[in-house]
Amino acid sequence: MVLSALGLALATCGLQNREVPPEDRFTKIYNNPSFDNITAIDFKQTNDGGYVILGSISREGSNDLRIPYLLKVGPTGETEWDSNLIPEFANYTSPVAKLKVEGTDYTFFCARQGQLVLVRVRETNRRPEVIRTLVSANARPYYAETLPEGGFLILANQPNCQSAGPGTQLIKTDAALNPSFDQCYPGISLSSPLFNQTSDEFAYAGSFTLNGRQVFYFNAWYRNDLSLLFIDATSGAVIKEYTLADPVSQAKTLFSGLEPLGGNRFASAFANGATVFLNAQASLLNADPAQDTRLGALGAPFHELRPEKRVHIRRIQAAGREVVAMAASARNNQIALFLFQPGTNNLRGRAYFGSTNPYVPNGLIQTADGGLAIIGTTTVASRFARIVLIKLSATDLANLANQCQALGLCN
Amino acid sequence: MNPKHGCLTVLLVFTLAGACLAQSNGIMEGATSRQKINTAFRELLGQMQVFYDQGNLDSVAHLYEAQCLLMIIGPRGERTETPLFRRAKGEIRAEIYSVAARAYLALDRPKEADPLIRTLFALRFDEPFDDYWLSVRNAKQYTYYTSPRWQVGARGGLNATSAAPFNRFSIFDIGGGSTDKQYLPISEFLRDARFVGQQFAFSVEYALSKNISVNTQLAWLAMRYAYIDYFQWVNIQAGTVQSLDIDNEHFSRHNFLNFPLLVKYRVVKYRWQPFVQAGAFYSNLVSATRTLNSIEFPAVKAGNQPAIPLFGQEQDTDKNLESRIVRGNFGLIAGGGITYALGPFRLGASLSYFYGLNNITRRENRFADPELTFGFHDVPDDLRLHNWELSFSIHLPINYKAYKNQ
Repeated sequence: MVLSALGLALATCGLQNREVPPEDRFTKIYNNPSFDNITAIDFKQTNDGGYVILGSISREGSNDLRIPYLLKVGPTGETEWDSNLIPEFANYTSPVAKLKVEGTDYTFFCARQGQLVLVRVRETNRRPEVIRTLVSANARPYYAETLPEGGFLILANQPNCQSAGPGTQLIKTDAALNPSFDQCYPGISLSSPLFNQTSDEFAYAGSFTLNGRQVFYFNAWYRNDLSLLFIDATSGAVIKEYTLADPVSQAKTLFSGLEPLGGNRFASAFANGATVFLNAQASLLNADPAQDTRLGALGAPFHELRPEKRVHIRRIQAAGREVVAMAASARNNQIALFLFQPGTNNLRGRAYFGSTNPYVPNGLIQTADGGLAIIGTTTVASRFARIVLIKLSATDLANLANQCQALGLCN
Repeated sequence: MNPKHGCLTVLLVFTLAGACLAQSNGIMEGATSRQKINTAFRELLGQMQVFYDQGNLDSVAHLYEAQCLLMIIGPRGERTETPLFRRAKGEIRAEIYSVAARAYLALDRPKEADPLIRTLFALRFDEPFDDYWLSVRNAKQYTYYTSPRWQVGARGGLNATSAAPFNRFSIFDIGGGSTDKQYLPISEFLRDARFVGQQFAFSVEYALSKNISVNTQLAWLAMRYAYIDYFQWVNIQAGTVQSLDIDNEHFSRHNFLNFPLLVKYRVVKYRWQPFVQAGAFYSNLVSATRTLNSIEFPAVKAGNQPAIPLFGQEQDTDKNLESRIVRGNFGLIAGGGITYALGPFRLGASLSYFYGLNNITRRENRFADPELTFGFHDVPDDLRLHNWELSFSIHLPINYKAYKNQ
């Protein structure tokens, strides 16, 4: 009797088992029974609570020809359908971020027979259809930022730029997908040795507005270094370049991530030699971006990060406050997630995802339930690249954002 | 009553009262007090036997009631034994019960005789009653059944566990001919000694009636179960088929402190006593570990040629699972067995089924272990554990009780 009473007493503290809804927190790796390598590019949450993921397939023995891969998953990460067995996708190559979702229409840029095309896939028939052809001279797309006012800012490699050899083409479309800006920059190359080495991942572009002046920015190989360029959105002129190579050590330097936070505020990741610096309070010095000397301020060093990998940055809400989330690749092959307090650059929390197999982030979003989702690429069976989706609940995210409180390092 | 007997009675009462007073005053302590009590009741027994031999049965009954029972009468007319009488040596009490019971039976007062006979049989559970008076012998043989009231002992044996998933989770979105988490059947323990669990328990049993008893234990319970994954990748190119198969076995070992509470019904007619039992258990997790064995089978096959196996890698990894398993596990028990009385001991064998009712997976930690989640692509299902236990036991009765046959 005494033993049973003891057992019952222990039961009261031993039986607690909090339910976590499967859609709140999960990790999912999307396998494929082939030797193909499938890499994540971008993803968005859909209206049904699920996710649509854009990736690329490199068929075994196909000379690294990357075919678009579209994967639709449910709210708990279960596969609903993918494009692997839809033969029309094999007509396209080189898909790029970002993926745009409008209802059940999914659009992204890729190449087809040397043309830069915007492809739409509708949930109803799941077949790719070209809705815009923007460049018809063997251009290869590198990045297509979705703009707040609608439309895209497209970064493409142009082999014959203004009849002056290879260059970088920057195209802005309006909401109706008609080009409203189209400029080619000879001598500014996306096809650099460094890009080849790093799978083009540092080719990104975006825009910000400061004092009524819209400025485009993009990363490209310029003046013997991987440089961040500011472009006047009206004239198309290069108004500022951050060519940051150390003239003494010749250490490679680059902005491995940049996110405008509004006004002159930015969050940046900066690789200086072997060290990655994260800065959630980067800013331009004054009203004229062309005169800035401050954006290159380093921020806090994170020696555990790999400088040759992109850092993905998003401004999100966590624990009722705005934070800057940065997903980076750690040297131990994990995905490292950092939450910073913008304005102070205080590190509020950090988490690492991955073990044994390599995990690399390809993007992150805030989910409709207040949580966070990270898309990445991992390797299964030590051989095959596969897409991984990691979902954190709103509670997980809040706990992460309050880590510094537990340590007495913030309020 | 004979005046001589009355005087003796008064003398005895004074002796016993004196002993009681001495004890309460702290004059006599320990063995000295007990000796005086025994001496007093031995004298009472002698007097009762004298009266019984003289056929003065009323005096026997009177002496017993006056010296051994309290004056307070209970709601059902029963009278409780005095504290002094309870402290008297068991053998003296048994003799007093024997004389008083025979007197009551001879006086045709079976209601008064019944509690005395029960206690007599319980005190002399292991003695033959062949030399007793016929009335007591008959009672022993036909009217009463004596069995252990409190027993303590130990139990140990083997068990086989089956894991029953009811919500499946997988980190790996399976494609092609792969399968995820196939739980091995309980019969696996017949094939592989690793799947044989063990249990050992200290056991206490209390008889509620002639047939029904309650048993509780403090048990160490080691449970073993496993599931396997199978993954396959195939590449067909220019008439050549390359393949990679990976077999993973996840072998789990959970150790619990187990607290079963059982109600037993036993057939008491024979020396071999079959029983059935049912109850509930609560288990508290002590440790949980897993060994992951992973074997690769790469192969290549050209045209119609037989596949050529290549050399793949094999690795064993041990992991602590405690963060993934809830501390408490509870459920129901049903089973049966048999006991055998060997001398003072009760030997037993039983087969029981433990049906776990709760989910043993700690849901909030399903994805918490990075090595298992990201390295081995393993996330736990919601599952219950059930197991069959074959146990052998040995119990030693502490005391006995006589029950009246219906």
